[in-house]
Amino acid sequence: MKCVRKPIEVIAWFDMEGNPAPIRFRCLDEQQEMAVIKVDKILKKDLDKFAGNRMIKYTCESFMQGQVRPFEIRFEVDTCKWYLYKI
Amino acid sequence: MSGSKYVRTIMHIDVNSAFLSWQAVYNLQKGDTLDLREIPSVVGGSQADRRGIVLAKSMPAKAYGIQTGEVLWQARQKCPKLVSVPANYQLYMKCSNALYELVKEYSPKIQRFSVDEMFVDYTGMERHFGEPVEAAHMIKDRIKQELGFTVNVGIGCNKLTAKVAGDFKKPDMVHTLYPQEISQKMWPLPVEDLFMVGRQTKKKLNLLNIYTIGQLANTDRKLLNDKLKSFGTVIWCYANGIDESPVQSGYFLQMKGIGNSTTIRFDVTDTYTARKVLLSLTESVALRLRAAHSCCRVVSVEIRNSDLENYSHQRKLFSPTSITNEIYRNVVELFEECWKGEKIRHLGVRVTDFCSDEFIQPSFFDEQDRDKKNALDSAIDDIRYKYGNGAVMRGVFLDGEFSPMTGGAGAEDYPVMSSIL
Repeated sequence: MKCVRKPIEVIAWFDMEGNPAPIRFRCLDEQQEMAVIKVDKILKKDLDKFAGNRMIKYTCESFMQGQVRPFEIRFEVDTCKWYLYKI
Repeated sequence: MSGSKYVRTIMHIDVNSAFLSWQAVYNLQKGDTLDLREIPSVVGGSQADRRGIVLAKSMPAKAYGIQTGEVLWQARQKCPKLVSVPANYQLYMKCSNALYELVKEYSPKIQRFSVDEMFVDYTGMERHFGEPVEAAHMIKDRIKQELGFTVNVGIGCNKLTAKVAGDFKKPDMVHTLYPQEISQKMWPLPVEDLFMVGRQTKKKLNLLNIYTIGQLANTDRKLLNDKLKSFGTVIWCYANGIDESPVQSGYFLQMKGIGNSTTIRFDVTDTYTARKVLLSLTESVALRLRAAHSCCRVVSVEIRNSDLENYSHQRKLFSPTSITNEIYRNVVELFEECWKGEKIRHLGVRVTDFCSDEFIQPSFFDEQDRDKKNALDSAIDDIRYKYGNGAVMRGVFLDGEFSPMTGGAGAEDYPVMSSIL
C-alpha cells in the first residue's frame, strides 16, 4: 500500500452508539475522473490519538479494477473529514 | 498518615521539546514522511510579522548550538538547512489535554504546572500500578505508543526533587531523586540548574563563591538570608531538597496580573497608531480582567523600541476599576508620559493589584456614570462571548489595519512557564 492521504467524499453509517462505518466513497482517480468505490469489508478499526488528534483508522478491502485490494481510510473526529490514507 | 513517617511520591512529567515534537507527531499523523524531530528544525514565529524567534528546537538543532529564544536569522546562520515551522497553539492545547486525560488514569491528584509539564501525586497508588519507577515506565511508554511523543518522568518525594529529576538526561527517560540520592545526583550540578536560580541569582551566588548546588546547600543559611533576603532561604531549602508544597489538583494559581503585548509588523512612529495598538491590547486585557471578576488598582504600559530596549511605566489608580475606557485613558496618559518619541517595535499593557469586583469603595473623584459604563462593558462582553470577539468593534479598527483585540495565543489557560511550585 502507498500513502496517498487524499480527502474523500463518504457515505457512512453511524450506529446508535455513534460509531461511524464507511459504506462507499468517491475521489478523483489517476485519470482525474470521479470514481465511486464501495467498501466491501472492514478488516480492522483502530483509534489513533497521536498528538491528541483523534482519528479513526479503518483497514478495508474492496473489489476494484478486477481484483480485491486493501486500503486504509481515516476519519478525523474533530473536523469530520475523511481521508483515503493508503492504497 | 501523619508525622515524619509519611513520605510522598511525586512524579514530574515533562514533554521533550514539547512544541516541536507535538508538531512533528501531528505532521506524521497527517502522512508526512519527514520526522521533524530527526532533522535540525525549530518552531518559530513568522519572520514577516517580525516575530521570528525560536520557541522550541529539535535535538539535531541543539547540536548546532541553537538556543530557545534566539532570533531566527541567527539560528539560520548556525545551520543553513534549518527547517522552521510556525507555532500552532490550538494543537498544543489539544496535545496537553490528551496527555492530561491519559495521566489521569494513574492518579486523582494532578497539577498541570504548565502547558507541557505536570506533577502527579503517586502516593498510595503502588497497590494499583506497582512501584513508582515501574509505573513511570508504564506511563511513559503508553504516552509514546498512544500519543506519539516522548516524555521524561522524574520521581522524588516532593515537587522540587521530582522536577529536578525530570531535567536530568533527555529524552524518553525515567529518573529518580530520593532524599538519599540528593548528594550524589543533585549537588554536583551547576547552581543555575536549580529551580528559581536564573541569570541574576547565579551572578550573585558566584560572587559568594557558590558554583554548584552542593555548595549552596552547605552554605550558612543566615548568610544567604542576609544577602538575598527570604529568597535566600527559599533556594537554600531547594538546594537541600526541602519543599512541602502540595500537588494542587486542578489549576488554582492565584492570578497576580493580567497583561497582553504584541510585536507590531512595522515600526510605529506616531501617537495615533500607537494609541490604536494600545486600545486593541486594552480591550483584551479588560475583557480578561472582568472574566476573572476582578478590578485592578495598577495599570502599566511597556514599550520596546527598535533597538530592543525595554522600558515601562506604571501608575496606581485612585479607585479600582475594570472599565475598558478608564483603563485605556490611563494607558494613554502613561504612554505619553514615558514615550521618548523613538520607533516602537513592541507594546504591552498590564494590570495588577487586583481586588474583587463585588464591592468597590466609590469616591468623589470617580468618573461619572460608572454603573452605566460597567453595564456597557458587560453587554459588550456578553456579545463577544456569544458571537466571537469580532462581533462588536470600535470604529477606529474598521480599516482593518489592526485587529480590534490583540494579544493572546489561545493557550493562556496554562502558562508556558511558571515560577511558583
